[in-house]
Amino acid sequence: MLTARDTAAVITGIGSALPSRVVTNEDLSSRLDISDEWIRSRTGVRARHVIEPGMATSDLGVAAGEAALKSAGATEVDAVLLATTTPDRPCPATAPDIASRLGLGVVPAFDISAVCSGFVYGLAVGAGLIVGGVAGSVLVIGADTYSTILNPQDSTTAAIFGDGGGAVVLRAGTAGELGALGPFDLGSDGTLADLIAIPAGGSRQRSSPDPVPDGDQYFQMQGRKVFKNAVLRMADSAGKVLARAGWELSEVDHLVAHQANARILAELADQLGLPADRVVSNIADVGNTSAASIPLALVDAAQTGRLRPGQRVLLTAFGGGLTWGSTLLCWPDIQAVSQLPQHHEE
Amino acid sequence: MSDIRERLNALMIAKFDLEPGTLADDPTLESLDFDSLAIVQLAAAMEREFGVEVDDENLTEATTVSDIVELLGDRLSAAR
Repeated sequence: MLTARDTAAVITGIGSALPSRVVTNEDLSSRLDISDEWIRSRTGVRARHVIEPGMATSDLGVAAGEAALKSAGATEVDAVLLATTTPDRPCPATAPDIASRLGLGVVPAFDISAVCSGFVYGLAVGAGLIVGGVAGSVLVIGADTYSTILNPQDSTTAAIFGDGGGAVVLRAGTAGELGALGPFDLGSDGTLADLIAIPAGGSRQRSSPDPVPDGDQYFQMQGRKVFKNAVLRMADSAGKVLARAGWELSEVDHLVAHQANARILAELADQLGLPADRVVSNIADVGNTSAASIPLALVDAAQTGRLRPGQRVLLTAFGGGLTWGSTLLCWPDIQAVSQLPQHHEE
Repeated sequence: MSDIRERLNALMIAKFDLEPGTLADDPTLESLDFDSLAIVQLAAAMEREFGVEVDDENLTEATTVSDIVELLGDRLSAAR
């Protein structure tokens, strides 16, 4: 019999879903007054995937979830979590719809709102359900469609963000086995909530008799302050999980951080003192996909053969809230699966 | 002050891959092709190197290397 102390959530499958439509920097520069060089030097992004009109976050979540279930060889799970900033509707949550469309029945399903830190928060909640004995297996999905919330006139955010979905299947296992997650570090700072926000659309704006100021219905970000906080918080949080696990930085084979911006990744590695070749990055091809970014980067690294079973992986994320979080694992022996999202007829 | 300038020069050259000598004529950050994110990176690197708090809001594209040396001198003497 496992004691709670030994029980851990273990990654047993991973999948990803990217829309087939690709928007290059050249496509953007013809619409906005920015060049490919301007975008690449500031963000490291060359192209991003964007959903077709009519698609929604759930379509990416279903495809990524199905891919992760295939990867795990699983047909059922005990719970479904969706980390997202862009649910299909403000109410209800999108996770129950995804669970039903995946044929997972009437399992508990809910959304997690932690913006770009959502996937790490989702892993922590999923691990909590497992270690607490509430669920034996959990499907954790990160999916976002920022193309639906970006201001078409804001060249900075248009250059950075893309759409995508990624997912993992967690099962109950033992701490110390390949794929076991933990320890975790999570944090938030609501005094800086305005740095990353969609000001309108929530109860504060809806209860006001005043009309919405122009642009407030869109995603807004104060780039310079976000940059500084992202680097500081991720470096601090990563250091905490390493210390709790008793790992030396030199033992980390791969840093898989939220793919916020190539320069944030470089600065984070610099701050940690980690050689640049240990930093996993796929931001050039997919942009910043918010809650999907970490599973998409893991799938990319696994499929290109860079990430191999037994290697030590440090995950860290930062996002609006502000929120941040980190965890560790030794990569399991699993086959990553990718799927194309499909249009869903209502 | 000359010690601060030497450490700052070494830091900037190493971190931003500048040609040695580019800092001799006291250039502005703009003339070194620094954008707003590079300024944040410079402020963070100076905090680590000198162990004092440097608010990146105090640095702009028009800031010169001498301005930064002066700023660091003030911060360091205030910290003593």
